[in-house]
Amino acid sequence: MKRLTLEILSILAIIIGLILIGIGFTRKAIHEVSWGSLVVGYAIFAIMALGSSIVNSIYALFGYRGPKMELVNIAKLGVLFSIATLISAFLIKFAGVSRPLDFWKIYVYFNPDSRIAWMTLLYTILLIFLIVKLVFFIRVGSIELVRPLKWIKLVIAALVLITTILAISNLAQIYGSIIAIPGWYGLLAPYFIAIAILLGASGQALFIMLALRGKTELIQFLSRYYGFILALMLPILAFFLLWNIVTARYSTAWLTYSEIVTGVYSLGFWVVVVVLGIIAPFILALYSFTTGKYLPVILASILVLITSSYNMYLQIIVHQLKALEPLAGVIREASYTITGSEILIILGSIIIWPALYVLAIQLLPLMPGEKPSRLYIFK
Amino acid sequence: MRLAYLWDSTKCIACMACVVSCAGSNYSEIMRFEEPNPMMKWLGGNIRVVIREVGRPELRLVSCFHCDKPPCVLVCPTRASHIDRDTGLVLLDETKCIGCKACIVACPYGARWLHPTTLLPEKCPGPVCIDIIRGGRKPICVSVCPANARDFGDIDDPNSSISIKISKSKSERPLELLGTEPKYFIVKG
Amino acid sequence: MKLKRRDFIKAAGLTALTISLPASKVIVDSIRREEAKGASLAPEVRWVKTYCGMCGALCGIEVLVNYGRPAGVRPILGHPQPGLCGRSSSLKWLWDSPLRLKKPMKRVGERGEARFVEVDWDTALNEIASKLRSIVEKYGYKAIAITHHDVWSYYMPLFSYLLGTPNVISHVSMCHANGTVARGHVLGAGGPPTIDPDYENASYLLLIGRTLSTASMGVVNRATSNEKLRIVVVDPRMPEVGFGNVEWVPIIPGTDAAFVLSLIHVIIEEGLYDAEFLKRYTNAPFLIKPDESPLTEADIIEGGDTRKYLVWDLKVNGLVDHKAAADPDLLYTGKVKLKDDREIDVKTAFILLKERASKYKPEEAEKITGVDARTIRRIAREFALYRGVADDTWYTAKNGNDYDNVRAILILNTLIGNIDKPGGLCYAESARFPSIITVRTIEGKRYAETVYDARMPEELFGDVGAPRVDRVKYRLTPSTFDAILDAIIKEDPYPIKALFVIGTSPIMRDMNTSKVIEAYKKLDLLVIINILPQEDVDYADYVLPDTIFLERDEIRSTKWTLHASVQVENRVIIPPEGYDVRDALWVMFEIVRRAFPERAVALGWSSEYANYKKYEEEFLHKLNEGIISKLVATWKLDKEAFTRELNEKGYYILKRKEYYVRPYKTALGTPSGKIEIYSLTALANKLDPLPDYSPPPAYTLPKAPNEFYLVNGKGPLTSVHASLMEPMKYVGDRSIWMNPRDAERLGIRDGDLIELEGIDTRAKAVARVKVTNRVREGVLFVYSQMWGRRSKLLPQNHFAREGINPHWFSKDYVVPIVGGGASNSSVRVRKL
Repeated sequence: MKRLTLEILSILAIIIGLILIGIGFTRKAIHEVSWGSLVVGYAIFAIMALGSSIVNSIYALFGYRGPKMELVNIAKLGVLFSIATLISAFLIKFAGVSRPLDFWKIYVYFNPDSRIAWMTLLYTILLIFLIVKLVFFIRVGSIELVRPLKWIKLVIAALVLITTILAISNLAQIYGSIIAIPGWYGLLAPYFIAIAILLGASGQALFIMLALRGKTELIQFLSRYYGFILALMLPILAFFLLWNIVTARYSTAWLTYSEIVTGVYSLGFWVVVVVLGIIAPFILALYSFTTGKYLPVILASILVLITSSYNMYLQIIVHQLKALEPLAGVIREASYTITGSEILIILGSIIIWPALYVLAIQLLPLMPGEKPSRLYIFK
Repeated sequence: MRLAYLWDSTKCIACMACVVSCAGSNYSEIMRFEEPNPMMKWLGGNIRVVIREVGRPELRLVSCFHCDKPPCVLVCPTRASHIDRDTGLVLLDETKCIGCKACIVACPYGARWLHPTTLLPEKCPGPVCIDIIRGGRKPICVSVCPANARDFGDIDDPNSSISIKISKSKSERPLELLGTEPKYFIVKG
Repeated sequence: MKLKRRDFIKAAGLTALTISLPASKVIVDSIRREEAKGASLAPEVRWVKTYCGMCGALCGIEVLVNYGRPAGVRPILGHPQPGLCGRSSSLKWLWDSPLRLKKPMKRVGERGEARFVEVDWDTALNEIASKLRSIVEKYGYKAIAITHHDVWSYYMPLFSYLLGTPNVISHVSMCHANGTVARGHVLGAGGPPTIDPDYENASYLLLIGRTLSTASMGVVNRATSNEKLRIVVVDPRMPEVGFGNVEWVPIIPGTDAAFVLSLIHVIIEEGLYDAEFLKRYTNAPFLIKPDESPLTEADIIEGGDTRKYLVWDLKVNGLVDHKAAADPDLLYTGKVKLKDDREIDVKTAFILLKERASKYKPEEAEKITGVDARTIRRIAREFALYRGVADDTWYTAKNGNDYDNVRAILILNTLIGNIDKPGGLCYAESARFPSIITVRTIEGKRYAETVYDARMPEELFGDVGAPRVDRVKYRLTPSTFDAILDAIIKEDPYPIKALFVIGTSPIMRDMNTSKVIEAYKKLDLLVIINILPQEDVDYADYVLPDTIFLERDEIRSTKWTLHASVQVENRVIIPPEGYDVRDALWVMFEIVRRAFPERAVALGWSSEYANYKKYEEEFLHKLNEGIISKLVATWKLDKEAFTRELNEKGYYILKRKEYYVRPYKTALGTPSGKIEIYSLTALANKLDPLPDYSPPPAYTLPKAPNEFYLVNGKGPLTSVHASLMEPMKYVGDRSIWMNPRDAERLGIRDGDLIELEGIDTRAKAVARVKVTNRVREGVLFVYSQMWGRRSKLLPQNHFAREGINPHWFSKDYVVPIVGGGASNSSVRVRKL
């Protein structure tokens, strides 16, 4: 009965989400910047899915299983999280373009120079690999594999990771190759990888630990595990962030970076991104890592999700607000405020995201120890 | 053949004939819109006006500069933005465009804008000018200019009026350091 | 070429398109077809040659007509005065603008409330006619006045006879009156287009308070096709032409005369003038008596000729009539014995000029003008050495001392002898265009004969011969509308009770807006014929919608060219459906036919022309035929060939500019027939015969740190109707310009709102500041006749409501005798 309720609720949520996205799509307004909140939302989901895949590969590819097979037990949930997040990313992406139904044209008229074309291809491949990986885990299980299956698992996991790394690099290149926007132009990939891992780990921490609530031992391990990842990645993120600011300081990128670091967005930047997004979650994650308490890492994850999203918002929107005109000394300025239609689309995707996750858990044998009994992969 | 635009900054008197004519002729379907070009807060046309009020005041008319290495073509996932083989102009094949707006973001000149009804990127040359150019004539902005400040033609042909003007005058191309190789020459003296 | 979005639409069927889609789609498609193929056009799609009426310059343009809609504009290549500019580009927006006046309207509310009811033409015309009758009964025909601008101006003399009133008074006092009077006095010329620099051959062009892009784009075309031309603009604000390779000399407003006199001083001092030219073709060698009048033969010989101006001939060392002198001395001073044996001191006019100019040594002029002495010296030398030409000015209703500015400028040109030479200041060839009406005496009886051969006998002239209200007060004025306001408000010199405002907007155009409104409120009858809801409409008793230039057939002479040329305005299109608009010409005849039928009949109108179609087909045909046959007769042309070429090309050049004619072969219209650096007309009218600088009398000069000159000017978008069109929301500048140093001093930032308070008028207004180096320190600039619209008929959020109308702040200062107005003012600024 409880399962049925959850199934119905999640399906309802997906429908509501789709309706919201649909309404939002038909009422899209034109902004002074071309890439607004939808691109931000998309980037956050995409990067989170990719980060999640990287985190997953700790077990799937590199073979770390945890002292009591904890990572083996959560492997399927980890893959599911990547898939659900990636689908949510796609939904925003579709709603963000003017002609979503023409998406197939990217494949037909594929432009090898275009990072967006590659992005589409990479994500399609990644989605396929992730589904294969999930089916593999459901069908074969993942405890002790005999030879050929073990190799197959490694190959799949390797393909997922390679595609993931390519995709993150690609996502960074989408921005990093745009000379029009000095704030983006350059080496964004390491920064994006750090954020990706942080978002992926945080998302997993929330979603997986929520699904496994009650399983005290597992939770305790996962608290240390995600606490470790966060505590490791946050200083790295801080390092890359510092490096970005330093390089921007001495280039035209300072035109917009200055707005973030010292200008109108500086309060948000220093408080949200630096204090609440790096320092506070670092302490919390470290605490969970050392004590195994789950609350701090959950809190850290929530902080990371919110603050990294805000960071992505700053990174994507603010750099579009000022540009050098082709006339020395003149700066083109734009303004941006999020509109209702964008909020609807993002809200729709945010509703669909956990709903997909919950629905899949109800339909598929993804919890530790569950096995398929119907229709090849279903519970 | 590589068609290029020329704008003579020494002659332009900022009369707005090209700016208004471009909008009126190429995009008459939106000429009465309350906000025909919300992206630029500008009229629904392909030419923007940029003025520097400080120092020695200066003016630029900004439109697509038809780069030989166009960032917009580079980023377009579907090759909707492309360099036309016959003319060397940067054109948009609207049937391929999915509206991802990457070209708008990528253009360092802010030359593209979103059409308010199709939500697809628009750029110079507009739909009417494309056909005028195909017919072997000069686009609207050139034909309406009262100040002899605009020209258009084949820079591969050394005898074209534009080639002659370029060879005779001091000219520069917008934001040359970016390496986009614009086919738009600003005569400075 | 691959199939594109719009081709798909096209493929879907053009017939369906014409019905269902916005017409603009159709336009796009058919232009594409036409342009791409370069083939002959479908009859529904055609380029029509005409001239632009978005402003008064009437540049030659071609309009693309697509299924009855204007779809594109381009200049007529080869036209002596080709278009176009941002104004004519926006004509597409004008034709079926939702703002256009569509039906006759009658006032039902108070004046200014803009409450109207739509009435049919008959009702409106009949009611106007009956009101006119009762006004005429009580006050005579002269109580009717008309004011106008360039639109319908050709027909104004006809309207004068139609209504029997002398009071047809145009915009000119607020435009070029000061300059036109000066041109007459110095060069014997007339309005601004009668003399012009030879832009395409000039080498150095000095634009003082004048910019090239104000209107006439042909001027721009000629100047920019001249590769060797150097341009210097002297103006408190940098006009648009300054964006190019132009030297801008920011000058303190109202000090042009001091600047130019300083140039004159340097040129005389350094001997850079053309002495031969001055001796022969100007009155520089005339000997001037201590009483300022010139020495004539009548002064020394009993019964001598007062028209024989004496000079000192160096060849015979004696006094000789200028015309007979072999070598007139420019620098003569000495004693002359008069016929009554009195001995007086005489000096040449040149010496008087030299003395006058010497008051303005560059160092002195610097203190007045704010232009540093070195710049003045350099410009003077460059001007003389490059054989420069200073533009004779256009818009000179600025500071109240503009008459002297223009005289000084014309004398500057004269000094270097660059008159009527290639690259100099040239007299335009006249097209000898027939007047719409001329008074002829036939068998001892006077008739007013129209160009289409109708004759009005003298007894029907009404008050046409009565003194015009403006000339009573300002003897030399071409037109001073302010006098009409006085006649309405103070009934001085006699009452004016009815006013027709045809194709113009005195509220946007004339000084002191509140005075205009006060006068409007006092009128018995105010009829406005216009195309758009200008603010004046709000005060009208009747508003009659006019046709726009695209909807009319006319033949006119080409302005702003040195060649004699005529051009056609073709009826490009008919008014849009639901726009019940009529030519002002028809309207005026129909009003008079109903009020004073005998007057209309005498001028060739018949009641069957009440049928508008009949008017268009018969009356207009008759009228244009009349013009053509007169032109053909004057120029001895082959009528068929003339009309064919006129229609094919849109223009016909009657005579190309011939240089070295005036003053070389033909005497000028000045009293002496020479260029008068020492104006005898001015002298006769008790004005200073030489130009001088005086501080602007039109307004209190700004003194406090928050007080500024408020200067206004025109640009390539200036037009009271074009400025209401949609593109102007974006390309029209509605801000007040302020110099960065002033802004910094007052803590004002770009885009801030400020409150302006007129120092003289106390009017207050709020506007947005643009901080720019395009305006001099201590000066604020706004475009005139564009913004600050207050008509209640305009949508509440219309962009033209933004900004200010500079006339809110200007007093009603009129230059004595000359009659020109002054639109600049001074204001106090407060940051909001």
